[in-house]
Amino acid sequence: MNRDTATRRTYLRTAAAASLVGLGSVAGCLESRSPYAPPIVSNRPDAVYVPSHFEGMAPVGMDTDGPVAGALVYSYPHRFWLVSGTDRSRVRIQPDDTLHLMLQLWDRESGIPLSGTSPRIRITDEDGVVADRVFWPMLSQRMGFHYGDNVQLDGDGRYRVEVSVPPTGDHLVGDLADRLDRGAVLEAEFDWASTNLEELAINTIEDERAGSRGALPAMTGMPGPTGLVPETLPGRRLGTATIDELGIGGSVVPTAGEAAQAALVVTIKTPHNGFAMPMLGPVATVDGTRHRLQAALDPALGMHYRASLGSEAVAGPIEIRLPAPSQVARHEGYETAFMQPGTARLTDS
Amino acid sequence: MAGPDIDRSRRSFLATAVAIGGSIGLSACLGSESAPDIPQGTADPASAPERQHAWNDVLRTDDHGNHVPPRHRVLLLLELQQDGPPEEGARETIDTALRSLERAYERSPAGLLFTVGYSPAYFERFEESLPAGIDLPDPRALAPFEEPALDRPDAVLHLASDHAEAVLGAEEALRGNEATANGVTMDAHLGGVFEVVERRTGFIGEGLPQEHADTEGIPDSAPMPEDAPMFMGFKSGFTHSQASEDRVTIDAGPFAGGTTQQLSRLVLLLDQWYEQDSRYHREASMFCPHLAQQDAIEGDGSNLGDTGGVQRCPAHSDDALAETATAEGIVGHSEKMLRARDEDGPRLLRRDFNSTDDGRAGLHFLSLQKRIADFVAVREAMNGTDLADSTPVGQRTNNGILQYFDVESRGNFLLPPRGLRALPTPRGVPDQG
Repeated sequence: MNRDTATRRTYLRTAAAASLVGLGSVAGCLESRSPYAPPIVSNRPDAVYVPSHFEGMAPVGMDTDGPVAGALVYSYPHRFWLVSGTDRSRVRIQPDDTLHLMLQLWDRESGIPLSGTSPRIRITDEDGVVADRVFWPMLSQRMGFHYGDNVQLDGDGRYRVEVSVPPTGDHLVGDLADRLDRGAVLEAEFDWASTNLEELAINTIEDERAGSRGALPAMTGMPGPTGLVPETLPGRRLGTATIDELGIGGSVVPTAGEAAQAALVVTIKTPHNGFAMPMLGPVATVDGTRHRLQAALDPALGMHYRASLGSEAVAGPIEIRLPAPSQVARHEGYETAFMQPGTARLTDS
Repeated sequence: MAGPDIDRSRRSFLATAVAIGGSIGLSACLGSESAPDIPQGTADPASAPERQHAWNDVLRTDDHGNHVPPRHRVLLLLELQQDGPPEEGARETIDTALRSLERAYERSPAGLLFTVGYSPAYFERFEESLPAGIDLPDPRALAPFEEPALDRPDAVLHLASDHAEAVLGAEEALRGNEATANGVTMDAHLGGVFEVVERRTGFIGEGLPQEHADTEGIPDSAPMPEDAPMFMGFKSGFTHSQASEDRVTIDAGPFAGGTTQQLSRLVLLLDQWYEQDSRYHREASMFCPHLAQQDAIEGDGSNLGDTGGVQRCPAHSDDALAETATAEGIVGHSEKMLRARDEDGPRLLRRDFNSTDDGRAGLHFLSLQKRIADFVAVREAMNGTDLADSTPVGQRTNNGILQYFDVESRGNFLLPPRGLRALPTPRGVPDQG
């Protein structure tokens, strides 16, 4: 870790205790302050569904390093689900879990979320390392794409967080390639008191709505972006289709600077909230040729998938296949969705 | 013998004594009632093999024929105390000290195995450069997601034994803190020539990780098999995943009989591995999804014989692996390693071990290979950057075991043949034995 970078960076530290109310007091009926999550709704559909509850959150801190910005927020320890191939396993709240930390990372200039990286988070106190791990890439209905995990702290007191962000492995389009080609280190300090969580609302969803198809709306007022797929794509649009609720859009766009070269751009979004779905491996068949699409970041399009095509001329329909589920970790309400492989056809609209 | 036949508390105590080191660690060992009888070495050290790294002929083998690595380790990172190329007197001192060590301990895991290697920084002390056939570049970061410190001491000494008393006794004698080693008088020691700038320690073998499970980086609830030889809960070093000593040996030029050594210090991040991941995920990410789906792995994987089961993982090429990752969403560490093999099989001979240095669960990854380029190729295969690029596999998540460690330092060394092990010149010096 390069210690020298710490001095040249701007610090934007927010002591957690100072701003407990802000993000925690989102609209919703305050019915419970128990740190234990209500039961998972019964009869969950194999689809995006409205969970039984949602919890307030509050900021830990923000920092920037060059083009990269990060915001760390906390909430109650959460149950969530890890995806391992086609296997889904529930992460239970451990008795010692103190809180759930969520990290938003984004490109400051374009405002798009930074997917395709693997931030390592080290939390220390005066006695040494308290937690040290690579955060999971996660998707939640209220935050969209972020990184996070449940974390165990060592009681009340002051903590320091260091987040090492490697350069993203996603293909970088346009001027992103010039500025996101290196890593970043973000830092924050915060005071933790066990009473902090008591200040966060647990909002219970009414029985008739919980478990029904649908999603909670994304939170507004978060420091970072949720990662929305744009309404319209540039280039020659190829229409839309759906695979296991995921909305697929496609377009053929000329590749900058190269005549007679083009790229197939494919966006894949969640229903209801329209978040870009990361960690998929779409396979496109274009005029009989198979392409494994790359995850890519574009300052205007955000996270999407793409492949280089020889030319803009595409004769027939384009087939998009999702052979495996997204491997992103799922917050409640997404864990039963998007687990099925499928194929869709995009035709010129 | 310090094997499974001694009780748990003593095993734990011995590895801790190695980590503590010094006269305190040594006297703790020697003062205990069950201190072992360590065989002394030969009066004719010249009978030792020319390859410093020729250990396999004296290592025990398990029921499946896999070599059993020595259980206790110490690495001493050394810097010459004088600038410029070393003088002849210094060379004689080191040569004498190492020969004394060979007289003191039998060349075996019951006695002591050791190697000494030299870094690119050491060879820069000389005007001439290494022969063109020696591939020993400066260390560098080998993955986009790592930022290791680059180790550039002059030399590294690797001490290995099944007995904590042997590695500690050898270390104290080499440092000049003890006049004898295992009852044999030392005719010289490293002090005055070398300064020890860093000390790293560790252990590997049945039961030892479980006894150090109270270390930061290992959750309290870790369902680690009691007899697991390594912190991640699985066996490694399967014969069919290891290069032979022949394969890693430099075969021409003045350093024929030598090899190169890559040494990295890894911090293990196993909270998620043990508290959150499923057994299925641990098997799929360490080996391959296919073996996990077949329920082929029992306990620490010892049932996989001498192969580690990799031949049953379907993907053996870059493209096949990308197709597997596209279909499965996850790739295993072992199956990523498969594609780094060439017509001669695996490129690396692993001699790595776990550690609790600095109170953190760690791994000192020490591998031998003919050229450092072999290591770089294997590490690139392990990075799976190509897979993260165009499959559901993440930069680290579901990409083998990359989620669960970080590389904190890297260093490259040349292990010369035994005749050149004492402060060699880039063109070699005459064998004085």
